Amino acid sequence: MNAVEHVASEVRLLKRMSPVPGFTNFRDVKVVQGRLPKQFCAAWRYYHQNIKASVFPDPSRKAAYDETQLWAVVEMQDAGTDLESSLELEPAEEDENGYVEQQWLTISVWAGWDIFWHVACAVAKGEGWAEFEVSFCPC
Amino acid sequence: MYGLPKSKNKQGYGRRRPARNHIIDSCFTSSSPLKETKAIEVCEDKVLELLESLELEDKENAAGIASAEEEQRQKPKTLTGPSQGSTSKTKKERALWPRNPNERRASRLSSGSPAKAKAEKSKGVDKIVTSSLEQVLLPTATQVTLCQPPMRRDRKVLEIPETPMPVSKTRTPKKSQDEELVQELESLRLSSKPLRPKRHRLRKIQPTPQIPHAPWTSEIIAHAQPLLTLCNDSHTQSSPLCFQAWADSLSPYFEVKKIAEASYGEVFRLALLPTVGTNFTKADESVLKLIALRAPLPATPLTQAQKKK
Repeated sequence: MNAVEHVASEVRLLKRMSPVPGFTNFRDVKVVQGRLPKQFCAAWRYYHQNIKASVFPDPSRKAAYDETQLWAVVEMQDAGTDLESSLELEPAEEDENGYVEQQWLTISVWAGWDIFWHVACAVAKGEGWAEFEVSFCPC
Repeated sequence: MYGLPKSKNKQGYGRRRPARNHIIDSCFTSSSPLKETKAIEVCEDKVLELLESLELEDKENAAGIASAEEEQRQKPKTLTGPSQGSTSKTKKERALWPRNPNERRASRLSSGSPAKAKAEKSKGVDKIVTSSLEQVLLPTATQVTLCQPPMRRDRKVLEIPETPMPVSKTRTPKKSQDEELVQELESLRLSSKPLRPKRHRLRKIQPTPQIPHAPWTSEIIAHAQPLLTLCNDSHTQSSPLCFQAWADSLSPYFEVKKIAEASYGEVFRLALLPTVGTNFTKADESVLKLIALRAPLPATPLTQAQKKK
């Protein structure tokens, strides 16, 4: 559960950064009330069964959410594949000795080059636009 | 010295040299007085030759005109078509046309209009040419115009008969025409009721069905106010919407797919249905972040009995 003020500040940030190239385009925000509709329940079920086990409770169960539950629906333009999924860890496999070894997904040097420069350029433009500073380097 | 060689004819970039008639330049213009006198002498010779040729033509034309007049007296008059005299004249002109190209050029100059001759630079030559041409050409011109329009060489002229333009009738005012039409209509109609202009009713635009609001209280609205003010639509700004009704309004156009999860909530995609027409495109597809909000705190603390319930 998220505080309304926190979500509102995120929406304001999205609105502010929307004209900057490299940031996702914000479209609208809506406040809705009630349990999750059947369309969303079906989507959750498909994701949970076929793609990945969900950490959120099954919305089709009445105990999961209350009738008066408030939701913020933030609508944005589809910006493509997110960075996290492209750099996700491969599924863990147990070794003969029982050790679990995780490996990073191998991406080509060109893909890494593109990802780095796209992020760097977008952040640089955002810094210029909204007058903030990002420090990536932890040294 | 390393420099560009000096040239007499300096040409500035961006300027255009004035156009010159090379024939006139070669005949009538010259830079030095010696060249000028030579040019004048040459021109005088050419003019004399021309005059001789024109005198010959004049005589022949006069003979031709006389024969044409006789023919016209004998035959009934015709309005259109060139006379035989003119055709004979053109043939004779061709016969008299000088074969030497220089002579031909000179003859072309002389046969040109006096306006062209006036424009030439050398005034002395101009006077000679104009006076001689006037003396020679004027009588012939008057004679030629009597029988037919002046023809240049053997060029054929298309004569368009002058037909009188259709004169429109006197315009009546529009109102009177309308009145006449109304009278005609009244005479034609069967019923005795007077005609009334047809009224076009404006088609009422049916309002789009608005998504119903959720059963709200003032507390909920006050709680969600910071987010409600950020909504784009005024309908959604007033109070929270019913979630199921809002999802039902999307279902004819989009399919809901879950694409990711995050700590704050779930991420869904609105994928465009293939059955949807051309009103929506792939760009209309959206990504929805579904974030659960904390419930408003109760105004009064719950009692032990309420907590147990």
